[in-house]
Amino acid sequence: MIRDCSTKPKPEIHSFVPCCRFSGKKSQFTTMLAFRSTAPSLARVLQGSATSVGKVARTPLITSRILPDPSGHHDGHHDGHGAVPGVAYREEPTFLTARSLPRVASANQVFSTSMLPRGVRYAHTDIQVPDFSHYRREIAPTEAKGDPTSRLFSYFVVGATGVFTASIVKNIVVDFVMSMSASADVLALAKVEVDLSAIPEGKNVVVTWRGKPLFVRHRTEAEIAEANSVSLSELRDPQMDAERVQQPKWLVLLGVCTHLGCVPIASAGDFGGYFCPCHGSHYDVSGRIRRGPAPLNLEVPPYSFLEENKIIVG
Amino acid sequence: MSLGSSIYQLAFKRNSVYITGIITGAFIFEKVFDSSMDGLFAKLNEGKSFEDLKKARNLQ
Repeated sequence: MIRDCSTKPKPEIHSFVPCCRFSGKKSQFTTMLAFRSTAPSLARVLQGSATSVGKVARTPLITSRILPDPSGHHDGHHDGHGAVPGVAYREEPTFLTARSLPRVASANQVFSTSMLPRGVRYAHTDIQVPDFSHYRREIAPTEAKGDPTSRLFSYFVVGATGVFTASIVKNIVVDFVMSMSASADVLALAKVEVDLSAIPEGKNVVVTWRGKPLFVRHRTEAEIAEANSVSLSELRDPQMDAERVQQPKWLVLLGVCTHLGCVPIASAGDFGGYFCPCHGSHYDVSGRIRRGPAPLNLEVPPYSFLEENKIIVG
Repeated sequence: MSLGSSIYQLAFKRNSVYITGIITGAFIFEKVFDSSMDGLFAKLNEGKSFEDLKKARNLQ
């Protein structure tokens, strides 16, 4: 509640009561100052005026503090803390701004002797900056465009970082993309096609199938006859040659020795077939074990003839 | 330093040239780095690889 200017009572106070908004006229300030300077001691007065009756919104412009009469009427048992009843007090400003400085300054008895209104200095035009020219970096002499050579170094460092980053990113991307390629279980069940027309007579061809070597042999007539002529009683693992081949001309075997898994050498050994160098197992031209530590014949994988000259293994 | 300025004019001035150079440099760097590191690994593990063993024992 702001005091109404029209009903202006005249309390016996020692300080000037501004009941209207400051219009900024010089005379008002000086008048106020004159009154302030005549007030004896405002300490007690200020204590009493510190509280406000209720929560009031902060206003940056108005100073309308009404100070109670300190002389004799102040017994400390008014409403609140020495407050005159029915009068609103505004809170002390909690931060210093250009506009609050007059208020705060007036509370702390700052007196100005000039005729101009007190204010806050905005531009520090009187500060002297020391001379740092001794410490300034020498700008290198440049060419027409005016450019120091440090940009070359900077760009070089950035480029080198770009090279490393590009190779790292490329590796990461390739890893992620290759993770979508065939997984191990898919590869474990893979099939392979072999073109038989490329294999001349008597020749053994090795193909990778499911990680193991696969022997495909184009047998000659002599070899077929020899394979058929062996009697089963001689064999450690008796099997007819006819059981082991679908077409007698083509022998398809898994090139893994049944002893301990080495790869036998083709067209070697005493029986004209295969010979395992690890422990000396001899296989004949049908892949059956004849001599040596191996217990079984060389394994025949599942295969089928797609055409006359093509088999698909697996 | 006209060498520096000529490098700048040649490689760093146009961004398209710069980026192309960086990517090409990445390929070259990767190739060189991989082969050199493989060579270093082989040198540090001399005589342990299967190729070295084959040579040493005259096998296969």
